[in-house]
Amino acid sequence: MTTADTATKTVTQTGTLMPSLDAAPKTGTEAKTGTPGKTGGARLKASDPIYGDILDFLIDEAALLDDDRHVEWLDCLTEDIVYQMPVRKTVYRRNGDGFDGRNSHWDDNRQSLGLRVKRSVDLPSAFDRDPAPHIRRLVTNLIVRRTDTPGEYAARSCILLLRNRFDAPTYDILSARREDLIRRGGDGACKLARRLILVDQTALGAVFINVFM
Amino acid sequence: MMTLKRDSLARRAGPMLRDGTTLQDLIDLDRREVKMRVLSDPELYRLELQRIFARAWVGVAHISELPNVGDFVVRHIGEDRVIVTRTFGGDISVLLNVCAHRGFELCAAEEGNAASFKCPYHGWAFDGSGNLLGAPLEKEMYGNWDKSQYGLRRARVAVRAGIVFATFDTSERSLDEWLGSAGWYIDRASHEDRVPLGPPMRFHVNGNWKTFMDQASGDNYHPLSLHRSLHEVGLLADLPGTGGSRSTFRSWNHVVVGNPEGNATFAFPPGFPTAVFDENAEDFLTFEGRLFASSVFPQTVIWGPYVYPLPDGTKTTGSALWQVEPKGPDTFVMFLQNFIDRDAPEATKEFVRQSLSAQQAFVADDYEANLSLQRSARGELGRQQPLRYFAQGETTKPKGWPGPGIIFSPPQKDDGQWLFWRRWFTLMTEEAR
Repeated sequence: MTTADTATKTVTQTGTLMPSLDAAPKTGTEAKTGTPGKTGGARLKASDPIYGDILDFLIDEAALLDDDRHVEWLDCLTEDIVYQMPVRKTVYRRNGDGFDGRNSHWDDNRQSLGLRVKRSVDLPSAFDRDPAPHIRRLVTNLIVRRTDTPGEYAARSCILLLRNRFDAPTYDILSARREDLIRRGGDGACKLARRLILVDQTALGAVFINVFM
Repeated sequence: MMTLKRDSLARRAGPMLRDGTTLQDLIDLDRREVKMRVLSDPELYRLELQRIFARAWVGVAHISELPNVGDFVVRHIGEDRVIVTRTFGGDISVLLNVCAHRGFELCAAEEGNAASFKCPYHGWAFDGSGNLLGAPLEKEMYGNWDKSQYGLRRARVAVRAGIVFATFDTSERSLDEWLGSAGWYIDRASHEDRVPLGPPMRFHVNGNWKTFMDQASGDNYHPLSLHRSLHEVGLLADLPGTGGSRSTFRSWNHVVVGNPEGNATFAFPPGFPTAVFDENAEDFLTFEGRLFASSVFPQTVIWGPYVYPLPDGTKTTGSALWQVEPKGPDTFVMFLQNFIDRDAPEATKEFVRQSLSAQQAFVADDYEANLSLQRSARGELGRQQPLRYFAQGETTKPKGWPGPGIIFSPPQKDDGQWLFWRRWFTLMTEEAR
């Protein structure tokens, strides 16, 4: 007798979700979701200057957003940026981690991010943005790996985002793992080419529609 | 203020709250006002779960989510979680996700495939129809017992327009009766082969479920102000000619089709410049293409058909299922699931997925209303404050309008929303049938 807790059908589908850039562990189906050449690169030690450049970049980027300097934040992105936050489902362990790129909280490109930024900073009637919410982004646990493309690095980090509005005594909280693809120029300057945001909630705890992370 | 005809519901007092207030005290049927206490009172909320959600038909899934025997999803009717599954017989069955033995939830995952549902607590096992199959050591525990007495609580199920509806109502009230004239419009929005792009997007909203559903019942007055950012950013043009807010109002001004069941469809009238979708709308829109959304009291909104203009010049159609899952008087979960024609190519699906993601940036406005009304309703004076719906429109059909219902032509006013509140009052004061 097959029961719900021993279900064998795999229901997780990735849709057009950007492949995971996280190298480890890469066994079974997880290896198949990665793009050849983008996974399994050597890890950079924290003492590596490139690691430092990428860490600086992620810290600066978060600071721009915290400081409500969204237009400048757009300059951190490549023209071909892919920015995704897939929905997540509660599924039995054998069916994976529940992320499903067929539907996304965010599935954005440079143009749509530009539109969201315009709404965030320019418009008199964006009522969720004015008065400005108080938002803090804590970026930690950075792991950087080389990829097969010179100058491109896979950066995995954790983010804890806290938002407070009006006189609320509490915060809206969103935590996530981010899997970024960073392009680093010869001068050490970095840009964000891909961001996959893997949130730790299935039904997000609040409305985070126009909150970049 | 205009004088209104005495409402036939006015004789109903309804249940009495602990402080002696009756439902009748909270609603003024003649002046078309509702006190904001209805948004924040925990006692009223429990009554709503009992008198509305436990009796309601709710759209819980799209039929294509359950192609195979044993496929299941877990969804909500009110605050109750239900298993929606395809049985061995091929039927769709909707079961309360609560073990008939000691109450443990049978399904912890929200989707998957299972030939049967075994409770983790003591091991009672049920088939997809909710029948008790057996229990560990059942001879020793229960001897020669009658298993038919211990099945799962099972909802009545009806499928319409590809949507699986379910209810725990014990009366004979049918889905068609519940939908009333809205069924005609839903038939044109959704069908079996317009399938989910993927699983739902879900997030918690600080607000009362009624604030959202009231707005979804034909409030086309609010976009003028609350969604002004759509015009400011250039996504929705003001009509040429008059300029300013008057033209903006016209551009949002739909036909609203209400019904006594509290369901409202709002639709673009003939000649509407559907700038949101296509500047040359008249060139391609069929009548169906003008439909916009149908709310199904109390928890469901069915959108569609959307017509998506694609980058290559072609068009495709989609729809959407929204659910407003109540989580207490101050919170609901927004459930958004988008559908697209089954045979649409993957590139089309990706385009639609991205469009909908960007669209959310502006739907965000609506949740501001939910949050703000909830803040207002906390105070003693705030909860005494009436929400006002006294603007009455004309019930005239546009020329050639093919659909049923109580049809309000532009300039559309508060009538669809007031039908929502009448329905709320009707069900809250209705004794069990």
